[in-house]
Amino acid sequence: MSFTSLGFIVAVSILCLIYYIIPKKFQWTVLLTGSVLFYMTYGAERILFILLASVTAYCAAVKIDKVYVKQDAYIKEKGLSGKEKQEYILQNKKTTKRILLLAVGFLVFMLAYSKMGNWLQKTVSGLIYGQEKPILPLIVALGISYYTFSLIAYLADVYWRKEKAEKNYLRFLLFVIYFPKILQGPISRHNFLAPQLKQEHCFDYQTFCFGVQLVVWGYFKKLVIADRLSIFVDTVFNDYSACSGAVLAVATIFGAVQLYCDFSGCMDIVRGVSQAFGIELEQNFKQPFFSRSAAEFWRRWHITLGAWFKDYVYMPIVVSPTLVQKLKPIKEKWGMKAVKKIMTAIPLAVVWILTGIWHGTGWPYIVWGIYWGGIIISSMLLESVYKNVLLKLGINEEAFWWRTFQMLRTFMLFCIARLLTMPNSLLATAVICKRIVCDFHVTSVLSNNLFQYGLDKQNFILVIIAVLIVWAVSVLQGKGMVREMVARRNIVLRWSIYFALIFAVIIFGIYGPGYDASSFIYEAF
Amino acid sequence: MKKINVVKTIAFVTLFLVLFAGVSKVMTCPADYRNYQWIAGFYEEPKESLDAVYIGSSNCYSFWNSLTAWQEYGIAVFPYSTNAQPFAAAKYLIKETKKTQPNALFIVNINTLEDNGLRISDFHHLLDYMPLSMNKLALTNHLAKVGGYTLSESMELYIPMIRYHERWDELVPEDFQYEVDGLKGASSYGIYLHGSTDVTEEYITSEKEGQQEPELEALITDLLDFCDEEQVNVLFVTVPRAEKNEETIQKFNLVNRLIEERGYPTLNLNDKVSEMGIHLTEDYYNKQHTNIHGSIKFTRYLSEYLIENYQFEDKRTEDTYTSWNTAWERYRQIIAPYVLDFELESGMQAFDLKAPADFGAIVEDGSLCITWIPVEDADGYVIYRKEGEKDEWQLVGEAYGTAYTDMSVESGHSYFYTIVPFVEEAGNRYYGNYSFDGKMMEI
Repeated sequence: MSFTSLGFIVAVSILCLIYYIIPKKFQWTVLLTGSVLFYMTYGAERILFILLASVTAYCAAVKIDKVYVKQDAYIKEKGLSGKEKQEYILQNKKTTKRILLLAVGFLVFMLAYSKMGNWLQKTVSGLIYGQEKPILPLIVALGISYYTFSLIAYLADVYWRKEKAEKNYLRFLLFVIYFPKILQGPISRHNFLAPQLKQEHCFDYQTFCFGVQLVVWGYFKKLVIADRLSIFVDTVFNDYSACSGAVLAVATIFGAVQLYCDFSGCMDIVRGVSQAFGIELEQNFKQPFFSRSAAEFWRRWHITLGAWFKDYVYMPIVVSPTLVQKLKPIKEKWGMKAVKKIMTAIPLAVVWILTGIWHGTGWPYIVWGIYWGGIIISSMLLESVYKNVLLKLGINEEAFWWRTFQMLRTFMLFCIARLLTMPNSLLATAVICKRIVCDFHVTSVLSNNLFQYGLDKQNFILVIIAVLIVWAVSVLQGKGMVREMVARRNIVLRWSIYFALIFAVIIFGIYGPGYDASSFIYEAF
Repeated sequence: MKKINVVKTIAFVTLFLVLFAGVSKVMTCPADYRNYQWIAGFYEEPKESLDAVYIGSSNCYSFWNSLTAWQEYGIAVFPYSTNAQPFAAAKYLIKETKKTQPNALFIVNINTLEDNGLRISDFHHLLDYMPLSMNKLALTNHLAKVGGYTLSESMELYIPMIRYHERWDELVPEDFQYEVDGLKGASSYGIYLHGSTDVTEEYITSEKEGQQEPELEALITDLLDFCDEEQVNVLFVTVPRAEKNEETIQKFNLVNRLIEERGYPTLNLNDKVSEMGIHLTEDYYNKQHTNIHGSIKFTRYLSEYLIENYQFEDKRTEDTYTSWNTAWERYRQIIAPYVLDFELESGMQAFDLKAPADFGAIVEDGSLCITWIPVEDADGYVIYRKEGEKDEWQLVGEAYGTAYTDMSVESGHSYFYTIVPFVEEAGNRYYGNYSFDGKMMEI
């Protein structure tokens, strides 16, 4: 059941009604039932993987927690302190670490197998049998990238004693499978989401309205902009060899906007739906195209993924005693400054290669990770040089033109990154880049040539207006919550805005079977 | 929830529904507006005013012309028909039209069985303009079921905006006006008025019956059971389409027999073209549909049958039916460029008299002299003229020979001419066939 289907809207409405009608202590069971049913609409067998993953994480966390409880009781009972205590804790740490690594290893294996199993099996069977045929059943687990990361974060937090293990498996399952975030995130943290799922929620008119408004705004971004732009972008990139450089450049820019509106639109839908149930989900986007650097961009784009990598990959590497040990000779030879730079660069490199792999399989994604990692690491390493140059050139970093330039530069970097993964092969990316540089004729954009790729003139104008609206709203979002700003206006203006948005989605949204005039004109009858 | 919030929510939802209904109506109307006229037009008729309702696919409105029947016999028979209307809908449509016309005769078109393509777009032609009712919902549900559509596929039938919202960039002024034309379902689309094709090769007849098909039998039984239950006055008509396929004709024969066996009247007109005076060479615009000339003849035949068997009365002078008279006056203007006066006069035609094969003309001293090859058995000829293709045909003169000089032409103009042969018997003239398009002459 897609988020953009009518069935989803109807199902969520019914669920919401039941949720607020039944006794509050059962609210979480409504969400659990709804979430399981929603997940099963994509195929009943898929639930097995998520059950397996959640049982693994649940058991491991309970086991780790038990060790800690036992450990605390023992220390208290025996009155251990100092070295004795440290040794005992270290001993237990080994046990908990083993449990953690086993559970995480299993979860990562499932994720890797589901992501790369197909490719791996084809390659292996090709070598053994001389033909590509599946050997083992494939895991086609929905949302596995998101729930695996949530589970790893949960296990790590329990291991680090940042939080207690959940004792009730069904409540834990609800945290894992909670329907708004299961398909596309955000990658929720247990300590953020689980308490809200436990809490009893009274119907709050304002929160509910804000939730619905966010959903409609999400649909606007997804159905009116993203799905409309994808018609053009897909048509161009599916036949890139027949397109001029200028058309490819337009498609690249549109591709970037499409990705943003698609992903952030879906996030708005899921956050809005969740809000209607009185449950907040983490923010995943914060006007990323207003970022002035690549590093800032990634703090504003897919925020929960970046935060996850920071907390569970970057930080563990940075504080790893092994790394500190290995860097000792460098510290003696080059000094602390160099060590600091290396200590930032190495974890960043690991993070970005993993981020690339997380986004997809194949070389384009690895290159994509290296690309972003390279930009962010080099800008970090060259920060002082960069500042010196600006100083010598007398550029005021806070000047409007300079900030605009930085934003455009970041946007262009994003467009280039999109070019790496959009055409599905690096060779195609190279051809497209070459064409954009060597075969760029503005006239082919200005002429009607641009309207041959699935979007006619009216649709082009419409999508540009819609993008401008999103841009204007993004500017306002920088000044506060737009929904609150609208809510403060008088009822006529407020409702006009709501209705305009709702009907914009209904009329201009890309959905349904499509209207084919030829099947309706019966001149021959 | 606070009382004010409840009021606000109800107001918002109500306003949304009103706006949605309005927007949906604007977006829903498909480009050619014909189906809208046949369905929405029906609901404009006063209660218990119609003699009959003609239910079925496009055959109904191409064979039956409600306004020529009115002007000639004063009977009010409205076609509740749409493009490729599924036969499976008949039961529901009788129920629907019976709501306002409980005493009417319900004429069900048998040929509709062959139009049962069950395409979702064909369902739209019918359902989009029916007012919301439990019967409409039941029909929608039934059609989705017989068409094998899933709930998500058929959702567009319940909420047409799902399909039509994409029309936002092709809206035309008519989408906002959305008016019923008041022509009582009489057709006025282009090809019906000026199209003509020879269907001699496709037209076949057969006395045989097709093999029994359980599904077909179940469909007929279901409809007849409904007729029994509702005790409706119903007549099943098979129109003379040029089917080409003998199996289809045999299937119709079988269906007619099945219906008769249940005690319901049928009128199988498949082999009655010559009796009706319909010419296979020019009275059809395609093999399934007659043009206006063919439909005038068919309508006359069926009208006489209805008057004879159902005692329909002439209502032309009744006050309640003024709108029918007005409709006819307007319609006469619409068809004037395509139909000559005598065609609309009952019993005044010599069906076998052929049109002059060809004719030529020469300009002499500002006059046009037309000559033609004589038509066998013709006693004389009348000459009609019009300036533009869409102008009304005007009678300019008559001739007993094979030449006519038109003195009233203007130099530099072009005119269309058509020549109609006639025979005279006992002081009456019987007109024969003529070239519908005429021939253009430049002066």
